[in-house]
Amino acid sequence: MKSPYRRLRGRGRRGGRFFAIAAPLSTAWIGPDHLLAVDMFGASEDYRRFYFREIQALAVKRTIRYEVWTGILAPLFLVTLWATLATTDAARISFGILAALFGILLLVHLLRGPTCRFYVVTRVGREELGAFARFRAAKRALDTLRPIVVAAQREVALAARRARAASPAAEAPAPAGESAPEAVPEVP
Amino acid sequence: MSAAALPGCLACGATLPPAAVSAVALAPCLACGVSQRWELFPAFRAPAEAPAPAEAIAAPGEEAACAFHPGKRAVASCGRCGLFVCALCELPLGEERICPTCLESGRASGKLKDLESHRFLYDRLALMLVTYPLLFFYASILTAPIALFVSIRYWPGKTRMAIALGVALLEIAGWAVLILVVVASLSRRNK
Repeated sequence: MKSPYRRLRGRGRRGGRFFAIAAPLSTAWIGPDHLLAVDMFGASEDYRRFYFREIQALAVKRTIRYEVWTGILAPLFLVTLWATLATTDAARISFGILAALFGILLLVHLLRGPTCRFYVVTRVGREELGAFARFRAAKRALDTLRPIVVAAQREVALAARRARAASPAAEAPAPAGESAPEAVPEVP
Repeated sequence: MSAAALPGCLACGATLPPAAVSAVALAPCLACGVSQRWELFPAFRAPAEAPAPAEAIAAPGEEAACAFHPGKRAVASCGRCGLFVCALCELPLGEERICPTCLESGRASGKLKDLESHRFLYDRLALMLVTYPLLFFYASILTAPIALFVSIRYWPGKTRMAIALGVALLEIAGWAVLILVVVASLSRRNK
């Protein structure tokens, strides 16, 4: 039987700790009427569902993990690279392997881009989705989820528009779905 | 612009400036400086839905009554068992409306997938037991039989389970051959 879920691109760990190797690995899936967040730890999975009609906001917060890990990996790579060039024979091979390892880690880290935390806000509270720990993944998720959530909340938007028409007092900028579609913002 | 219509900062909780909720670019919080971006949806400003009260039946015998509250008017029927339910007993589950009995029995039997919040994946456990110990070869003498037990006990499973079963059998066979070879060479030496 085909799964009703479609996976959103993005995979990461939530928890906010830099050495969060023990943190659950998170993925996110789009279901028929809800967003499913899956946290995997070893052989066990935990599920959280966010129904589209109940999502009040999606928020992204910049973090400094990108700069911190660059500051850790770059010196390690440079030091081992220098050691590789400065030594000979077996030591050169050992340092060369380490330099290659740190170089690959650094390259992958730089290519994946700046880090962030992604939140789903509902009336109950705010939940972090670890699957979108990088800006590129967060932007893709926002672009994918925006029309789905707007469509699910069409009736709510119509009711709000009628209420605003009856009471012309201005409030916050109209949420997505209540006015003309905005240009897709560029996340640095 | 009403401050109540703006969300609070993700870091410090202070009310954000309108620029941070414009959904155009990152904007810093004026209190703590953390850059963030919010995208609001209609549900953000929708008033909280008050639970609908269960109305009493006005004309007994002429209106459908709730199966759990005979004096209350039925407003829907359970999507699973078909019983009539009042506004109190009508429980939304995704797009479905079910009664308290079906909710409880579905939760106990695990048949309501929408309520499932945790799952233990035995096929993944079996695969981990046969692959991770290969980093330290000798551990597989213990983990391979355990993986074999898990694979058989919790069969059927996905492809992972079949792979784990196959690798566990290979590892056990490998250990058996190794032990036989060691025993045979010891026997020859003793002769």
